[in-house]
This record gives sequence, structure tokens and C-alpha cells, in this order.
Amino acid sequence: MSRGAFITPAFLGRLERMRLLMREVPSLRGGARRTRQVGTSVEFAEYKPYTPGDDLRHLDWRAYARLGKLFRKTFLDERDALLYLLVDVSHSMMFGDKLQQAQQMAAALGYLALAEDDRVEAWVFAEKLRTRTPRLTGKPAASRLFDALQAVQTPEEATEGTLNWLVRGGVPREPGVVVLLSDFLFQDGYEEAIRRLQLQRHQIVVVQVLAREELDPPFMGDVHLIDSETGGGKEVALSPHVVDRYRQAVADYTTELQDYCRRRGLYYALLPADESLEDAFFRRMVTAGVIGR
Amino acid sequence: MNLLSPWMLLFLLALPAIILLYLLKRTYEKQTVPSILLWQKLLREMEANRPWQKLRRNILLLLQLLAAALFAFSLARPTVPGSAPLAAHTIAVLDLSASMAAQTGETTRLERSKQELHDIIDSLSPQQRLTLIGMGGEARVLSAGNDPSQLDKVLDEVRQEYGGADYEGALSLAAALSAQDPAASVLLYSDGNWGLDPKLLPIFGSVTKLINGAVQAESNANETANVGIRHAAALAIGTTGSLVATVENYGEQPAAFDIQLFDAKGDLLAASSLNLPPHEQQAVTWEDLPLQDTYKVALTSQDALALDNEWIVLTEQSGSSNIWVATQGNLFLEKALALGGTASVERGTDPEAPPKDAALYVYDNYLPKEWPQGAVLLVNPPQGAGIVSTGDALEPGKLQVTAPDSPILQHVDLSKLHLQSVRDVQAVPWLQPLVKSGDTPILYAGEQEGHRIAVLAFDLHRSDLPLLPAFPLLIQHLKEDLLPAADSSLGETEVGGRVALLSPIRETGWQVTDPSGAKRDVEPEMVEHGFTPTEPGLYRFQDEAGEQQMLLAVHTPPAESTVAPSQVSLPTTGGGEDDPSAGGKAHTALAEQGHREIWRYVAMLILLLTFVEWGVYKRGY
Repeated sequence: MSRGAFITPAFLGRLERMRLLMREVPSLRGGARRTRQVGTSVEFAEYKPYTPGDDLRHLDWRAYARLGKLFRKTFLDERDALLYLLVDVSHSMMFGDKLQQAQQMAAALGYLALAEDDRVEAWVFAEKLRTRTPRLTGKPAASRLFDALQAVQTPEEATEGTLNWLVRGGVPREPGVVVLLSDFLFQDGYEEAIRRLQLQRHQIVVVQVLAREELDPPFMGDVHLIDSETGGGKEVALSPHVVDRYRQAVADYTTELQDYCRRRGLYYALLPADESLEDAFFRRMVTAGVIGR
Repeated sequence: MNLLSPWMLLFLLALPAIILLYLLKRTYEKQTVPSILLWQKLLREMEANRPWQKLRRNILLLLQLLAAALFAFSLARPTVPGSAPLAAHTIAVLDLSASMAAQTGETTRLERSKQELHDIIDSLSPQQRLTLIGMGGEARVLSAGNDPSQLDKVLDEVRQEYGGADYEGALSLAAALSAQDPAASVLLYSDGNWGLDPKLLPIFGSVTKLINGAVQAESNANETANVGIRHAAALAIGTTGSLVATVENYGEQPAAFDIQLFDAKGDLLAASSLNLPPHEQQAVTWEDLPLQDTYKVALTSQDALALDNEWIVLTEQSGSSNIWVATQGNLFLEKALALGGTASVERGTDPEAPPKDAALYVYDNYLPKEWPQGAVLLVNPPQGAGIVSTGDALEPGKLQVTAPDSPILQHVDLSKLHLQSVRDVQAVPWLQPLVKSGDTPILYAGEQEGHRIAVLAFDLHRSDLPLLPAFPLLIQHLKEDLLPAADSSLGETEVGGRVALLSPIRETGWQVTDPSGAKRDVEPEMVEHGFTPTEPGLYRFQDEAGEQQMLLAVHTPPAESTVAPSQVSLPTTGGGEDDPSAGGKAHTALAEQGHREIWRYVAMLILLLTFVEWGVYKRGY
């Protein structure tokens, strides 16, 4: 796959007009990202009355000359963000361009972050963390990120996707923005892993990628369904009624995940795998509040 | 409830077979999906919500099993006790005569009777038999057995006949059958107007029931009201015609109606109103009518039987043919020739000087040398040579009829004929011997050079032929055969009557047109055996070129016009006749409970089940 097909230059051009919107960026490094914290930058925040012990360097002497009172002038802090792109490559992602959608979405978000001088790490996981790129900085590193993401393959052997490795101590140490790109069809759930990520003060973006055939199964009749990951089977007599029930179950499941995210203050976006990247990015991610102008 | 074919329940073995097939059938198509997580959730949920889900998933199987069980059940022919108990052997006599065409409401009596018979056939059990006898022009067994489909088919094919019926034959047939079988009961579907002497009715072996063509005796007067034309005749007098018609009211109520007279083209010539008291006749006469070959008399009466409301009349030409008899005196012959009235008989004394205008020349004891103008009847020609050559008088021998189908010999019984001697006539190809005495023919008929000829080769005075009842008939037949058809008429007859087709119809190429308009060729078989019309109306015989035509008027027999049912008590052996209670008891003892098969309803249920199954499949359970 050429880079052109992976991410087109035209798309990159449109991409640069957008910014990653994060409510809090708990990074320790200074950077281009304005935060709500008070810190050191040229961006004025507010005047505060002086209390003993404050840094004298921040006193506004001109105000003192005029008013005879001591005021501390504060500025907004500008920090960079640390973006973790966690891409699920378990076998269930092989279906219906799910993996490609996830790769492209990760590349787009990563490029956006690099363009704003943020740091980016791409992590690839299935049953465990499989590979991770070094921490990339600066726009020129985008090509390294793209190459790394493009090289991502689903493993040969059937692997069961899970987030358990996060629970078992895989959570990134440095707080940042964790983007989870997966179908979230984990047999062992996702709640605990997300709780652990939040404990580590990570900002979390949940991107659920589902194939069309998952949303709307095309088969009918007596079907022996085989799980691509576990190899386990289930015999179902598929009738329109059962398919309707299944659609309802899918809707329930995504709604449940969305509700969970909203309650815990996460970003959530559902990406059908057959949607174009432009649609997915400029519509769904904007709606989810992950990016904006 | 009973099962007529219980062994058919073996088909219930199909049920385990279906279950087996169902178990084998469930081969699942393999389909790899990203994750069955959601499917598992879904199925858990469905099963959790409905504890009877397993059953529900198999509702199609259950429906199939039910359908198969019902199918086996219907094959076993379930029955419920029928309404009418039937004897083990039912002999049904169905009257097909014209009176059964009487309307009762919208249907005829015959149709109603057929419907009742269909019901009886439907309720036959396998042990019960039905013999169906048709009482038509000839009495015949239409079908017998217990196969309902065969009986129904035969019954459907039975057609109304428009003549009288061989009542005596049919009743005798039924009586004989019932006498053979003690378990039989006889059902007579007829109006009982058989015109038979009650003393001569055959004796039935078992209980007999007369079903009056679905008409109750005290039923609506409309259903028994009938007026009909009993007779009509027309005579040509010069250039005008006169016609007389006799009309009878056969009903129990006075009748008022119009009588109309139509000419051959169907134009109304005359009409008048009539009022007739019950069972009265009235003659209607018309004079000075424009001369026509045929007239039609019609009654405008809304009565039960429409068949007798029309009568086609052929005009008779009066005195059109002369018969010239050259004899020394033969009273028997002259009287016999004069019978019938349509021809005038003239006695000539000089056999050498025949008149020119006679149609038939009869030579008694004389052999002419030359052919006269018309047909010739030779009686006892003397020895010599003339138009035929004759030899010695020979000894008579045993009488034998060589051409029994000839119209001349119809109903002519010559078995008691005694002769003294027979004149030997030299055999020529154009003379066909009809009757022989020993080896010598005594009666010839033939045609030579356009002259029809018949020869009685013995002396009437020296035989007992003139004393036999057959003599006037024979002479009449000879007259009909020899005399040219003076008018274009074959006469009048009743439906089912046999008409001798006279020359020139005997030639080839003639066609006959039915009253219904159907055209067919005159078959040689019709010529030999006589023609039997099957429906009332005008039969038109035409030769190949269409130049000559002969008409035959056919009516329903007046005896069939009586449509009011009459109760006839039929004699039976064993005293059932006088003691209805005893008869009833015998009836019950012999009768087996009738059955009504219900497999049709079960089959309908199966059909319904297939729709339910489809619906279940569509809804996805």
C-alpha cells in the first residue's frame, strides 16, 4: 500500500486546518497546546491578589504603581500533549476493512498531533502489547509514524483481542491522551482496563470500529457461527426475526459502551469500517469532540 | 368415528422418519464472524426471556409432524356415522323418461334425483354396494359396485332422455336383482307414472322405496301443473291446409294459456286462448291455412314440463296414390291394401290393360310381360316368363327368415305360417329373398330399372297367412316399401320409436339434421335397423344434392306428460307390503349404518396447516 493511498496529500491538507481538542492535557513538557492550567506562556490569564509566598517575579509592578496594591499577573500554561495510539490487531479486526480503518484513523490523529508539536507513540496490541514505536516528535516524523502503522499486520495465529495487558501493568506511565482503536468485542470486557488508564491520569478516546457485516449480518438460515479469535462455535437458526434481534443487540452494545464513556468522561466515536476516512474523520470525530477547528 | 382403512395408519411411521430427517437435516452452514460475543449475548437473552424457546424453535417441526399425522389419519379414511342408514346392497333405479325433465324450482326432477344419489354414494361404506339401473328407452345396469368415484362418474354421465321408458324392463331387472340378494333394498327414483297394470308389477325381493323425483305428493301445485299437446294432425285440402290439435290439462288445477300456430318459417299464423279444467281435453281446429309442409303448435304455459308444449305437424296429402289390383277376387288382399286410408284401391279385371296413373300395381295369380308404370307386387305368379321367370310349385319346408332386419318384416311374426305349395321363382340378383320355406324363398323384395317389386310366391288362398295377425302388418310394410313417398314425409313418431327409412333415403349420400341442428350422415345401420330419434322436434333428411328432403316429426309420448307423482305400492315377498312395521324392522336389521367420510375436511386442515407453517417461517420462529 502506497502512502498516497494510505493517507492522501489532499486529506493531509484538509487535516492541517483541524486541531486536536483535549479538555486537559496533563503533559509535563511545555509545548504548543494551551491548557486550562496556569503556567508560563505569553497568553494572559488573569490578575490575582498577592499572597505572601507568591513568586515575586510575577508581580505586576505597573499596577502597583497605579493602584498601590500588589497584584500577581498569571498566564495560561502551554504544554504539549503525549498521544498514545493503541491499535487492536486481533483477528476480529481482519473483517471488512476494520483494521485499515483503524490504521488510517490512527495515522490521521497521529499526523495532527505531530503537526502541533505533540509527541506520538503508536502501540499495536492483540492478546498483549505486540509492538510500539518510539516516541515521535515533529512533523517530519509523520512518515515514520505512517510507515509503522502501515506495517501493522494481524498475527498469523488466531489471537484473542483483550485489554487485559493494560490491567497487568501495561498502562503507559507518562500521562497523555490514549486513543483506543478497536472493535471493543472483548470477551473479558473493557471496564477494568479503562479504569486503570484513568487512574494513571490519561485522557482516553474510545474509537469503536465495526464492520458492516457485524452491524447488519448478510447471512440467513441455519448457520454455524465460528468465532475468528477463539474458534468457538454457535449454531443459530437465522430468521429475519433473529437478525432483527441481533441488530438490536449490536445497538444495545454500542450504546452501552457510549454511555460508559460519557459517564466516565471519555470521548467516544463509532466508526463503521466501510465508511470513507473523510467521513469518519471530519464527521464522526468532530461530532465526538475529539477534533475541531 | 370409524376408520375405513385403519391399516393406513402405518403411515404414522412417517413421524419418526420426519424427526430423524429433521435431526439429520440440521446441517449448519459454517460462517466465520469476527466475534460471536454479541451472538452469544443475543441467544442467552432470547433463551433467558423465553423458557420455551427450544420448543418454539421447533415449531416448524411440530407443524410438520401434525401435518403428517393428519395425512395418515385422512388416508385411514375416517368417517362419522352418516344420516341415512343404507342396506348392504342398494339398488337404485333412476327414471330417465321425459317426465323426469319436469322442473321443480330451478332444477329438474332428474337432477334432484341425481343429487340425492350422489349423497347416497358419498355415504357408502366399503361393505356397502350400490347398483345403479337406468330406466330409459332401454333398461340397463349403469354401474354396480362400491367405488364412489366410478359411481359418481357414471351418474354424472347419465343424460335425460326424451321418450318413454322401458318401465317394465327396469322394474323387472331391479326386482330380479333384489330377489337374488336378501340384503338388498331398492330405491326407485321415478314419479310412478308407469302405465303398468298393478297386478303385473314384478315382485321385489326386499323393501322397496319409491322416491317421487324429489316431489312431495302434496307439494306446490306449480310443480305438478302441466298442459300438453296430446295430438296434432294437418291435412292438405287443395291449396289450403287444415289442422287439428288436441290439448290436455294433466294437472290438478284449471289452466289458462294460449295456443299458437306457427308456419314452417316460424311466423305466427294463429293464436287463441284456452281454459281447461283439470284432466280435460280440448280439440282446437284451424281451417283455410296457407299450405305448408310443416306447422308448429305451441302452448304458452309456465308449467312443469316444457317438452310437451310444442308439436311439429307434418301435412298429409290426401288421396295421393292409387293402388290398382288385378285379381280374380282376393278379399283379404284388397281389404289389407285399403287399410291405412292414405291410398285408394281400384280393382281391375283385365290384367293386360293396366291404368297409367296407379302408383302400385298388384298382380294376383298373374305374371305381367312388361313392367307397368309404378311398383309391382306379385302374389302367387303362375308358371311362365314375364318380368320374372317362374317354375313349378314346390313342397314347402321349414320356415326361415333370411333377412330379419328388413323393415318389411318388423313385428311380422310368420312362425305360425302354413303353406300348401310354393312357386319357384328364378333367382335374379335384384330380387332379395326375405323369407324361405325350406330352400325355396316365399317372399322377395327388390328393385329393377326404377321399379320396386315384391313377390309373395304362394297362393294366399292356400295358406293361413291372411288369418294371421301378421298379415295386415306385412301388407302395410310392403305398401310402405313399394309406394313412392308421395309427399316429403316420413311421418310422425314418438321419441325412442323406430322409423323405417324408405327409399329414396336408402340410397347413399343422405344426411340427417337433428332438431338441435347437428348434421350427420345416414349410416347403413340406420337404414337396415330403422332410425331411432332421441329428441323431440323435426328431423330433416336431405340427399347429397339437397334436392330431395324428407321430414320426420318427433314428439314426446303423451303418457309422459303426467307429472304429478303417483304412489304405487310395490309388491314384495315376505309380507313387507301389507305390514310396514315388519318391513321397517327387516329394513333396520339388514341396513348397516351409513358412513360419511370426513377425509376431505382433514385434507383441508392439512392445507391450512401448510399456510400456518409458511406464516411461522415468515415470522421467523
